[in-house]
Amino acid sequence: MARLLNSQIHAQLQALTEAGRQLGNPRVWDGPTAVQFRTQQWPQASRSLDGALQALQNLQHSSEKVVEDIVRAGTDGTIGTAGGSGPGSPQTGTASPADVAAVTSLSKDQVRLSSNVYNIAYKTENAYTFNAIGGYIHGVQDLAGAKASYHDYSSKAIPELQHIIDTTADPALKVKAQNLLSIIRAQQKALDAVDTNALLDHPDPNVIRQVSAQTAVLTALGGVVTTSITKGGTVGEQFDDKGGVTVFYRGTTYGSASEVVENQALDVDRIIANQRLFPPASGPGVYITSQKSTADYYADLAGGGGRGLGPGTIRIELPPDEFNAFVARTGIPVEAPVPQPPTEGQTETIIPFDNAEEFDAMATYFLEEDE
Amino acid sequence: MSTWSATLLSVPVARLTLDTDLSGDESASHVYEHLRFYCSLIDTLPAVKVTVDANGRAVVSGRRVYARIARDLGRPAIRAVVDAASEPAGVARLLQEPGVEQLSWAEIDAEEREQRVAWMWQVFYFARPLAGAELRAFQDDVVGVFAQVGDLFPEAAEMGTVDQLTTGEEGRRVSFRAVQPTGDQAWMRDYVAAIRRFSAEVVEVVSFQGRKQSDRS
Repeated sequence: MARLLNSQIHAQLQALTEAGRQLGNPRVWDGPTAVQFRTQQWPQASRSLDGALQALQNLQHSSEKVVEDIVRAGTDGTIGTAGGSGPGSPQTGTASPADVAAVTSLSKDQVRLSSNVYNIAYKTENAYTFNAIGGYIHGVQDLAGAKASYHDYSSKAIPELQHIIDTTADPALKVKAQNLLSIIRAQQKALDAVDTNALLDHPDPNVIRQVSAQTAVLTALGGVVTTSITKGGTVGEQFDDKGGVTVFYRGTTYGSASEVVENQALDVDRIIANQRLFPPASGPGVYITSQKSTADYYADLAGGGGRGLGPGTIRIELPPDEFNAFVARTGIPVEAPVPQPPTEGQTETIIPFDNAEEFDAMATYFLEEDE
Repeated sequence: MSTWSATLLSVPVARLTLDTDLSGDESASHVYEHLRFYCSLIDTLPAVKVTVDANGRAVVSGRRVYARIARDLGRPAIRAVVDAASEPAGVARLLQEPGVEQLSWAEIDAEEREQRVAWMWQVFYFARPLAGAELRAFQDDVVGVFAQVGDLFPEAAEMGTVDQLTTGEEGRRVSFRAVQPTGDQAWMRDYVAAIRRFSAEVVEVVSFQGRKQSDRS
């Protein structure tokens, strides 16, 4: 137990702290998502990690005391000690399941307090997500490592998702699994297309760091989404301690919707072009609605006559707490009544173009497939 | 600029493998017969999604209803988005087959974006036949929305507004062709409002463009 405490967990927490510090440096990673991470998520996570490290030290002292007591009592020492039987030394036994459980429980409880990716990964209690976090820690400056990490993740996630697609009787779950499978394959393809040598020859090392950091974060989050789907839940439920998920829809063409899902980003350029000559009555921005029926109308009109490969509706899932903080900070009215509504109670939410990137960072886009 | 990496094909319908267990009646969001009639009016059907195996066999894995309609209507070919789970060697093999053609989404998208307005079919099915006064109200309140398109888009005024308005199914179906803005959602809202108002206040709309009205409530 003491060996565990002194090696893996402590080192991982310290490494995570260091990785967070690096990512908090705008010269390493910058952009709207990075600003959000730097100003809101990392400070909280950092405090929690400090707390976890302190708790770990306390437990180390306790375990050393236990070992001393055992030795004093004259047992043959079935628990490895910090300075005793190291790697390669003969061990007289292994830590008991209870000890391991105590350590595991402690680390989970403490890390659960921390925010952001690490917290989410622990929530899922998923081994390969945790491994992906290893990529996050060690691969910030190593694109090849990030690539390998993503390969590792996708090689496990893809068969799992394919199994769901082949066996589930739940059509909604099947669609989600198909969507995620498409996303993973597309991301894998995009990542494979990155020429490591060309990047390494790039005069600005920050480019490499940015690519690998983003990839590693993507990997970690991807693991969470996969796990969520594997469990048959929604992505939002994994993000939201209180349960539930905030859902919006956007009706467009199948081609455009597929672009959004593949890129996990709204097609702002296309929307700006559409609105350039005739700005909507409620002002420019990305129009979304909580009413799927309304989004389907727009999809049928936009994709009429087979244009854009036909109608397509995007389902947008958001972590409620993050979304609520976002709208509180930006002052965006959520589901405001539509002026002269077609039916009573019809509402819409307009995401200003300037906030679209930040919205993308917290949203997960899915394709609502027609059967 | 389009950034979608998927492979897009035009595939002979006869070459598609379609799950024959899927009945059109099982469609949750569409009335199959209504959607088929709507599709019979348009030249280019919505795309299906296919998964291609190592032997080049294209199995319809998404948007199956359009493949079934294409087959029912005797269409020679249909657009197909190749699912990322497909075998690359199988896709290459499929591309060698007669009648299979690779399409460019970027080119299709760019071409369509140039058209701010286009002639588009509108198909409505009602819960009961429209009486004369109800049909006139439909023409004034719903079809009439298209009259403003010419004011918004100069090119629309040159193309016309509405034509080929016909009724069918003993008055339960109304279809017409209209010059419609392709990307202006502000305009669409007025049209959707008019449809919903007519359905609520005059005669219930069962489906629009084949999609069930009940799915829109």
